[in-house]
Amino acid sequence: MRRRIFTATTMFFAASLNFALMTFGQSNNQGEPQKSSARAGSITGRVVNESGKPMRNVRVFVGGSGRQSVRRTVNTDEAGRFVADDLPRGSYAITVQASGYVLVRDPGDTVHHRPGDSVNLVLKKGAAIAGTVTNSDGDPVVGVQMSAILVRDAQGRSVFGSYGSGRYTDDRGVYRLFGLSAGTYVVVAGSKILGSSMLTAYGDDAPTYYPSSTRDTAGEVTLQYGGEATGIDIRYRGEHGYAISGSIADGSMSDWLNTSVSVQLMQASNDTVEGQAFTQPRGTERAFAFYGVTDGDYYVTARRGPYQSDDGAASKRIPVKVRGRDVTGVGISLAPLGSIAGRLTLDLATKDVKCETKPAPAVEETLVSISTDDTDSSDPSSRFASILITPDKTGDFVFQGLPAASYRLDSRMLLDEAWYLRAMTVAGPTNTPVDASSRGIVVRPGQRINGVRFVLGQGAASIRGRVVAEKEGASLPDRLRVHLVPAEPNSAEDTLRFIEAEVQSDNSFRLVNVAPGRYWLLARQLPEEESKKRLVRPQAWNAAARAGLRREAAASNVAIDLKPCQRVADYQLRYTPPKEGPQPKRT
Amino acid sequence: MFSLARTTGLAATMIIALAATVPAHPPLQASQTKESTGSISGRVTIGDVGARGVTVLLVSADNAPIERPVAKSTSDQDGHFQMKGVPAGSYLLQAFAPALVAASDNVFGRQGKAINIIEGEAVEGVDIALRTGGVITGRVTDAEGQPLIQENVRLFSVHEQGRKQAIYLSNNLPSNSMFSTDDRGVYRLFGVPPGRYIVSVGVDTNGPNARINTGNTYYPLTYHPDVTEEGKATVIELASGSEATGVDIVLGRPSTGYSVSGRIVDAVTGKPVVGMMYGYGALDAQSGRLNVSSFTSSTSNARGEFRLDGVTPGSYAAFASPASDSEMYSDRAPFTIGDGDVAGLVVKVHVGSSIIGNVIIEGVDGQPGAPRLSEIRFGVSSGSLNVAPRNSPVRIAPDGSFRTTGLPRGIAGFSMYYPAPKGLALLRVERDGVEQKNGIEVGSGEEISGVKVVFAYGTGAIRGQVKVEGGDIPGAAMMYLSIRRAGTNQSLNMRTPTPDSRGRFLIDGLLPGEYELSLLFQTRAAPAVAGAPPIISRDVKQTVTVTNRAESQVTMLVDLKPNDR
Repeated sequence: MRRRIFTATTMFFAASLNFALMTFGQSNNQGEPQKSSARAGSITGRVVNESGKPMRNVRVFVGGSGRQSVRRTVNTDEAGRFVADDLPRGSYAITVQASGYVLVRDPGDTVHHRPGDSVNLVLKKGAAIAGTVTNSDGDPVVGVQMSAILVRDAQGRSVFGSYGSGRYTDDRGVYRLFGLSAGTYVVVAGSKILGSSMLTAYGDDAPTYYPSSTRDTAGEVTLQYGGEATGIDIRYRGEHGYAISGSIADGSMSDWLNTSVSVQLMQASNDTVEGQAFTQPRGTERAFAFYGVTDGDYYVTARRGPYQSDDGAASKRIPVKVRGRDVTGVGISLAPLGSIAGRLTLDLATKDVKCETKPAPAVEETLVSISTDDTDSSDPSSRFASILITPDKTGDFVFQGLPAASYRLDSRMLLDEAWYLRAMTVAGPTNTPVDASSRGIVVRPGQRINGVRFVLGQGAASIRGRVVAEKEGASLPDRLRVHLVPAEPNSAEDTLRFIEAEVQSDNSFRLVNVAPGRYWLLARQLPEEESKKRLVRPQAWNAAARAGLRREAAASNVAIDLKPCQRVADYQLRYTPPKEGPQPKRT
Repeated sequence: MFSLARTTGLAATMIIALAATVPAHPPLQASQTKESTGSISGRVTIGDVGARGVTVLLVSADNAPIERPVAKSTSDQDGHFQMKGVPAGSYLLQAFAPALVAASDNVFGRQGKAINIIEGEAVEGVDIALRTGGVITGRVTDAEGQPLIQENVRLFSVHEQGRKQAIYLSNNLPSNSMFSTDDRGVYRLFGVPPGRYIVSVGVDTNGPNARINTGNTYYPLTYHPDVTEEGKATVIELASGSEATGVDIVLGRPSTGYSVSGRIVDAVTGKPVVGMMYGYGALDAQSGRLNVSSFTSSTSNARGEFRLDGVTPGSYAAFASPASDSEMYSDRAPFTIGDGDVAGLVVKVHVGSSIIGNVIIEGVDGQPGAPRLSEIRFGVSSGSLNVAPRNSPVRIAPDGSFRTTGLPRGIAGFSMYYPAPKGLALLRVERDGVEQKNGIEVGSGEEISGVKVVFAYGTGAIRGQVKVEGGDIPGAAMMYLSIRRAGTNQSLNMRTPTPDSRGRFLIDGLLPGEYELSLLFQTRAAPAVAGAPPIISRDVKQTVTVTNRAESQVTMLVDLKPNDR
């Protein structure tokens, strides 16, 4: 049995293509008072379906996010219960896999848990899409690969770069895709998204989208959990698609020759993956090719492992335009990957206020996140992705395998509301710490950045509440976000004190892990463009936006003084629409 | 591995892309073929009637993974197809028609008609006879009527005397697509040749299996309609083009697997080994080898403890799985599951020996197209039955040096990994200049240097022609070639091609030397020959001398006249 390395490839590709679904800015806590202080070494839980019926013999993956973390696979018993025991202190991501079902979490729920936690997981029956594929003669198209591509999630937000499971049409041309999340899809016959080692008649065809269209004019199918869309029939066009081919050069490392390189073809406009190719060395060159490509604008990128190390390599996005003929000679250059290393410390100095008499979290229970921040991209729907890891017991952490880019690090995804991020610094030119929160950290190809420091302080406050309309009974618009803006003059530029959170569909919001101090509260509507994205770029990252926020916040002058460990509940924040322009209505 | 924060079920719709050997060569353009004028034409029939709209693919007959067709054509109203601009070479012609059934022209796996074509040749009359395949469809449910989702269905053909044979439909579709139930528990097998079949789901606990991460319960092998005894399974009689519906399988209560627990310890110090992956395999009673092994991604805990769940009754061996570049190797710890859990198993891990050496390729001489050191993959195995399997190829540095570690005491054997570049063969292994015919003897904790692994690159070829004395090659003839070095009993580690319908074949990538070529020729006797055996079989042997960069011509002459005794 040869162990496949490709799962690691796609995991990283997935990460770098917006698969991580994190609302940035606020810790996604369960919103309950902290669990008992005993950090027993087990995470227990129960997996049920939508009606609360226990799901037995379902696989639960409990995985630590650190370098030496434990990963466990356990199965639920007859009562749907599972136990992952013997877990060292740390934060563990929990996922569930059950054929035909989808793990659905509430928007505020956290993916990570600590030993001692008890977790309730809900599996919803996935949705299905079925139909028949025929050609222009009315004959069934047999053995063509079908895919459902998620374009908007259940909340209507755009999802970039997402793709769905592939099955094949049968002898009647009938297909059925199942186990799908709720959301809106386009359906495609003959896509090359999954690559293909099968020799078929469709390899050179441009894919056909439901009902008989290109991607731009594709019909959409909206699904609910447990629902089914039938009659999604496709009239297969079988138009000849073009080829994109070229070769990959790797100047960085000599011993790469035994490793596979994966190449992705992506739509330039929305980062959807059109095709994947894995190349092995063949003689002196690494050639790659994609077939069945329609006219359009694309990017090609390549990556090579080993991934969990300093030795991988990746390329920039190489634009490719297809206009009515094959494109040859595309050169991809792999550049070495960099890393960012640092240390997180919990400041246990007695100056701070301890919120409750319970032990401080261990450093290995915290989470550090990294996101790409492509400010120089002309495309505002920037390639925003997020990866989380936990530090070692010493607080050391390292993000490896980073392509050259600008990154933002954060550690607000804390599982403990008593702590806040006090400072984030990086070693400056003279090795003195320099604030790293207001600008991104730029990694050049192969650059190793050390000396990032996170300091977490105790005594964090939190605010929970609701946004209310100006006039009683009036409706609130969509896409609201709540902002905490530091009101103290000497905190005006402290990026870490600008905190924002999404307002949920019941108008509630939650701001946690807030440093004590004086703030303004502001409810704003996100511009439509921004709101369509799955991950919203925090206002705090841009100096001009920070200044704009301060002005708005000062003008509306809703101030609050947060004392250490203060827990504000039931705060009513009034939303005042901007004076100019028409009154936004709830759509 | 980076952990991704996943909040919703998009995780379920995320795809782990299939490992694909995808086109690595640029597309075949008309200009690149230097105006090849070869052509292939023929007719596709379904049930003897010309079939319209069937796609026919021409693929290279090389043993390398198939990338994409060299040529493609779709049959017209009368079933005729034609491919133009075909370069000289060895090919297989196959119809892409998953719902149809073709006579299998190439017994050893590769489907399709073998065709050897020379430059500019027009090969005509390559007819492909297809039949409509049958369909077997049904639903798999548990004892409570709930559908089983993504459960694998197995198809067996039943012969006279009740022997059964597992069937994997070779129709160019990934088997998990068809043989796996959907969310309603429904499966649909199509393109099934006519015959008698039984269908089952579940775990065959009589056969070797090493289930991992699949849960504590499992369904025992259950046949349609709902029986666990093969003899009571309902046989489905499938005629050509017929559809057998309602081939449902109702499962009984699931059985519970057992658990196996133990510790991984250092063989010398006895200290627990923390954080190591492990696995287990099914032991073959006769050979002592592991028939099938599974590796779990779980790791031993802080006390070196490990646990396997869902193990079905049988004989197994557990082992630790050190990283591929580790200095350690693991013993196998045998255990048997009867009707209870097993605890207290001890798996010992040792520091192994290392071999340092160099790889060279002889016979390359700067030839264009010769393989490079980077393309070689070879493995070193101990052959000991007490030691856990290792399965990664040795990494070769660009200068040809290598270091492999974690070797147990014993004889280390070297072997080449496939697929490998054509013409490459492992010739010999030397230690300090002395050939080690039986492998290298490895002691405990040794570092062995001065090893040279010599590969050879052969560019010789045999171009052959099968002829039937006094006539043509009958259409129904089956021809099987085998080749071995003259004077040895060792057959070459290569797949020999099948002669095409005109008796032509090409064997290339051979090292220079003398070879013995054997042809097994079988055909049906002409009817109305009373007393003659139904199948005529002939063995023809020829000795051929092969030199590099040259084609040796050979004719295999078959005499079909009855043997006079």
